[in-house]
Amino acid sequence: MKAILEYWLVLAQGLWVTIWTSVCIIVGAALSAVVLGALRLSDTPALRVASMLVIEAIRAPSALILLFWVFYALPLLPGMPRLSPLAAAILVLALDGGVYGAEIVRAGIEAVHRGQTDACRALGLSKLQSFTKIVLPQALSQIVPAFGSLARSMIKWTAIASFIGVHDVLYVANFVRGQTYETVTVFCLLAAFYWILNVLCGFAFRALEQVLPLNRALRVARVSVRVASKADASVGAAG
Amino acid sequence: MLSAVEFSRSGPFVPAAAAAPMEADGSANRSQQAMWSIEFEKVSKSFGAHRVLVDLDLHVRPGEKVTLIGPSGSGKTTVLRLAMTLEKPTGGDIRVFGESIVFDAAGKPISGSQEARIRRRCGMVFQQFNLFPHLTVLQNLILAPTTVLRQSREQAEKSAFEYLRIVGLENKVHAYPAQLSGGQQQRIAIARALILRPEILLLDEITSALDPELAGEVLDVVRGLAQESKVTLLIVTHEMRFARDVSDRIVVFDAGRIIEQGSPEKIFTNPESERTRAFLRSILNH
Repeated sequence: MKAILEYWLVLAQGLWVTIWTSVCIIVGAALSAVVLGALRLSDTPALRVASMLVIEAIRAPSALILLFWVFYALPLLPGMPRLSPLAAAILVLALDGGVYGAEIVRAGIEAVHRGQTDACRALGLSKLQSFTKIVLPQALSQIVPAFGSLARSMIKWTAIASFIGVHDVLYVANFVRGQTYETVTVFCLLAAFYWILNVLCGFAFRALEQVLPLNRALRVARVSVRVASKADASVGAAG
Repeated sequence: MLSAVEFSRSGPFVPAAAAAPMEADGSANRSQQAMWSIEFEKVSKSFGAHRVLVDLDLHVRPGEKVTLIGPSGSGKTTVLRLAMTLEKPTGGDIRVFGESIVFDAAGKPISGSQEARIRRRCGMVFQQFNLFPHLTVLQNLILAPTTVLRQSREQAEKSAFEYLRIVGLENKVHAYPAQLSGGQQQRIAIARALILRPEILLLDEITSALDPELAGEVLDVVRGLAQESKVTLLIVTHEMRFARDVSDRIVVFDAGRIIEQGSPEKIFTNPESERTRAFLRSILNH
């Protein structure tokens, strides 16, 4: 227990870095996923091919190799910046999540009935208006549950940031283990941290699903049908 | 449900062209000059190797109510989708009020903005309603006026209430589509198309997804519209009685070609083509 009692502050700081990194990469992945996913379905062949190449280029190597490449190799190229360990980790993990998310977004957009885009065109909406006001709000009902699952994985991916010196919870836990030799306690604590973060992430995404426009509309409709059938039943019983 | 008289009283169905101002040089604008509201000139459409329309020639006068009938797969819906620019023709030209929706003046394919401008003169109601399920009835109705016509929200809502009253659904303003019956959804879809005051309204099998009782309430709305408004109607339907009631002209399709056209009386009582007779027998005996 010495590990916890004496090092709780550094562990908390490490946990904070993990949380902060997770939030950044999930938000970054979501944004890049929407852009890449939408470009994958563009009418312009060059944009479709470009987005596909980006997706394949980032998805093919392991995230750890990409991280090493961005942190160690990129600054050696002329004109390229040297990123801090945290910035490199966020950039790589957000892009890596984004390319997986792009396929989720693409599938979600394709799941929206074609009649919806026909109706948008018949009403004179531009492609951007159709996408932002009609297609994406409906596609989110398909995208968010799958992206929630990806986000939970992404929290676990943050552990590789410690390989380039980010002081996340794994980095700190290894330090504490080295100081106290309480390997079992430290790694149990580490597992508990990741478990709690994952569960909280799951709750957050389930809450998000509740407020999605299509889900909200369908929930209202379900409730009204239930109320109507109860009213019918009570009228029948009274009769 | 309101009667046909109320369609004319409120006046929202009067197409924009009818109230359009004269051009700066004093001449009537293009829609007033145009002899035809829609023209199909030798239009072909293929999906891969499958030819859906073959050298179609069809001319519709402003204000005319034309119903396309024929067996499934004969190309009727494709005619509407082409007129709405939801599909591009493989060959030929289509003009809306004299303006090509396929080529520009230089003979090149028209740009997206030109297409959008011409498309604004048409409205379409679909077989599957295609209401936006995540938006309420009111939001469905005001979306296009506020985003496309740049009307204020108050102005758009005022129009929306007017059209909801016309289709008899003013009490459903805050309902979501999933809370409505099929007939109610289709009436909302009609109101959503009409709120933009189209000069041409395309109705694609608007009762096919409805049971007969619900279909009746939708057809009543269109009957009122057909009798009292100056909008050009191009209708695809399998409801022969409805077609007879509302149409100025019936066009019979088979295998991507027009096999016969004429007044409802002629087509339903004395069709020339044996294929038309066979089709009508099969429909009316069904």
